[in-house]
Amino acid sequence: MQKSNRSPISTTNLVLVSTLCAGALVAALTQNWFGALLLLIPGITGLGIALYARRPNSRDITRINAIEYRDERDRDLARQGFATVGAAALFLSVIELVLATIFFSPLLGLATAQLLALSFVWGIANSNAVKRN
Amino acid sequence: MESEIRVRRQAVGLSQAALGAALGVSRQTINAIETGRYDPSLVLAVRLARYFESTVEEVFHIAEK
Repeated sequence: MQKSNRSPISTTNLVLVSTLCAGALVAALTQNWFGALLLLIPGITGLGIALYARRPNSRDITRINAIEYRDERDRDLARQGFATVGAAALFLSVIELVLATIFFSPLLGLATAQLLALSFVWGIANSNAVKRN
Repeated sequence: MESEIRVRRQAVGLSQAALGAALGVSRQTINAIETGRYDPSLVLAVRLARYFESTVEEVFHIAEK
């Protein structure tokens, strides 16, 4: 019988689930039970969704939402989705900065840092895309 | 982009899932290529053509204006 070399879930999901479960463990060790539950539930749920999406006959939308890409089309569709998220995040961050400047001055530093960080990541992503293509 | 994937696949009696499994892609990807909703990468196009022992130009067609 042929053995598959595929891991049970994608590397991205492995990192996400591990981080959430490790956080839950640390929270539990410090007797922060609410925090432990808050991190454990999405960790276990994420693992379940990833395993469900990994089934051979899973739908493409299920795989893309679960970050369990099977082929180049899945990755291409996911890139389009993430591009939309990125554009929305930049637009919303500009609105957040304007509102923070006018109404919520305590949040001004956070809003500025968020917009700068997003712009920096956007610039790096554009630079990488240009180099590769 | 138009292709002869469906005709060639059906000629050898393969399902979309079986062809996808043979090429390491999903059934949905084969369906999307067959219906012209997805243009495969050059690598996948070559692999598809080789699978049917043809050239890319024999399997895929660009509609002339």
